[in-house]
Amino acid sequence: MKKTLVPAMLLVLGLTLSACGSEEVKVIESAGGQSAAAQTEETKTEETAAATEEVQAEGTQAALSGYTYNATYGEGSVTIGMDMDMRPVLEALGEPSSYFEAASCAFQGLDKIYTYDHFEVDTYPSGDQDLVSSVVLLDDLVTTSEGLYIGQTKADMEALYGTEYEDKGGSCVYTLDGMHLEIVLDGDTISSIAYNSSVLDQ
Amino acid sequence: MAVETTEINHITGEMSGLACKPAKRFGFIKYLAVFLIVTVLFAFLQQLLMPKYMHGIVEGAMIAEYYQEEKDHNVIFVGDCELYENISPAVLWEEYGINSYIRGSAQQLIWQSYYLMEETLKYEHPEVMVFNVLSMKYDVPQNEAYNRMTLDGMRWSMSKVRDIQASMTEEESFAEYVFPILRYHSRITQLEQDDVTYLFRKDPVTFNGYYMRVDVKAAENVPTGRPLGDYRFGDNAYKYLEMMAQLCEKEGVELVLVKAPSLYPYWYDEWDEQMVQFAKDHDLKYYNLLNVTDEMGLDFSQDTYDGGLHLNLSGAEKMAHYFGKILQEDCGVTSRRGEEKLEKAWEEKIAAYEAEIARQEANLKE
Repeated sequence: MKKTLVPAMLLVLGLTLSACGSEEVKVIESAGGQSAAAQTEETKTEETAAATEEVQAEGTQAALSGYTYNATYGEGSVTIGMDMDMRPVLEALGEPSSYFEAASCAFQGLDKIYTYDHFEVDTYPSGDQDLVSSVVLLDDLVTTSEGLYIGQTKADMEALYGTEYEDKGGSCVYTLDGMHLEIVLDGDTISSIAYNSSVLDQ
Repeated sequence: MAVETTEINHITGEMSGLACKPAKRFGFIKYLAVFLIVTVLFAFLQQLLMPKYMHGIVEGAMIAEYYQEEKDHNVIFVGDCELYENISPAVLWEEYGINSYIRGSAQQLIWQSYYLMEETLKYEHPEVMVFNVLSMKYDVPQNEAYNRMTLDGMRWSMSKVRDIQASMTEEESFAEYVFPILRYHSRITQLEQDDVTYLFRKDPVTFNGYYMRVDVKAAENVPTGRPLGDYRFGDNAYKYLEMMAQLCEKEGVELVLVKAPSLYPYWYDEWDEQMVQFAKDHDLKYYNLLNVTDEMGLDFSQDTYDGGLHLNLSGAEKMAHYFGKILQEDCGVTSRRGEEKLEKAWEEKIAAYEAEIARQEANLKE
């Protein structure tokens, strides 16, 4: 008893402290991968800085993976992929016709919505960058890169994208390289088309 | 004869049963002392490493603040930021004599609101509980950081245990809630002055649960909701709303549902219809305050501090003025003006409330 009790108690304490240096430490993150309030102080840590850099690197690498949208506005045009940096989009398209930003309840950083005439680009904060979380087509004057537009039918969708989609009861979701192309149906007619980053899954 | 034998044994040091007892007792005390020292050290470290939420992001301190209150309220509001930033209990007291408290935290999910209701009813018995229905949009656990801000502040009870079980994301573990040090140990190298200053005490960050902001940022270009494939709220969200209705009925407390007048996130008509139907089916009152912003006198160029997501002080006071009348006239909540103890408590609270207004306004001018 004497030989086990004291070491056991000290072991608990020791393990707790030794875990401080563990590389397995999790970092609380918001949906956008930004360090969160529950560990405000952690935002300043090397761990978080490293995690942020990783997210940024992933964002850049993933810029044109999955389904992408060929956006045109005025004289500018750019291909937008999920999780890519918003800066080149703004440089190519210029100022949007409308802009909205929303702070989350407790986290620092802003979700931003850039609305161009016929489509909208949403971003989430990640370190110093704003990364694309969604592109939403707003009317039937624009099409996806594959040629689908609002007002077409489910059959048109399947002809262009195939039948390998997840039926979510009212919307069909194609997943490619981790991102989602969500097509909302009103009956048999397409009422909305959105490209969504997987960060929105969280 | 027996005494004599014992004495002999003591003198000779022989290991008789009677002679061993003091040594065993000493050994036990030694173990107990070590155990207590380790436990105290463990508890101290845990307390040191827990985030304090006293500056910057203060939302994590809100839930725990309730326990410092005199628990004798007429009305308890339960919900997310659309409540704790949108209605001023100070105005409810001043204009209607309603003693209210907001049990809210950031992105407080419906099961968290339910268990907070359950817990609150163990402490007190209000006339009315008001629940903001925005969180019906979430059907599954969302985010550890928000969970922590709600759950870490709760006192241990079966309500907290069930709340944790309902709230955990796949990456979380129950043990990390029981021993938060397992979650926060990495803060050992990042401790700040606040961690020492607020080791054993906390300053209030709200006024009866209300988080005050006096600054103004007009609502502009607020987006409408994009079409959804399925507008139905999830089964899990409905389960907890049903449980709220049953709990309040059982406890004899009137449950009132509201949709606070925040412009974003977008509140769909299809969602509203479901709440209207639920209220009708359960004989509850439901007020969509988005429909009465003009009556309330809300001006979203002046009454919001973040572009329409939350109201600022001016907006929260207008909402209290409007909703207090509903609580009094529709729900029959009584005025408690004249209760000496309560009058005195509110006198102090309102002095602090006004001091905070002055402090924030001075900061804005700088």
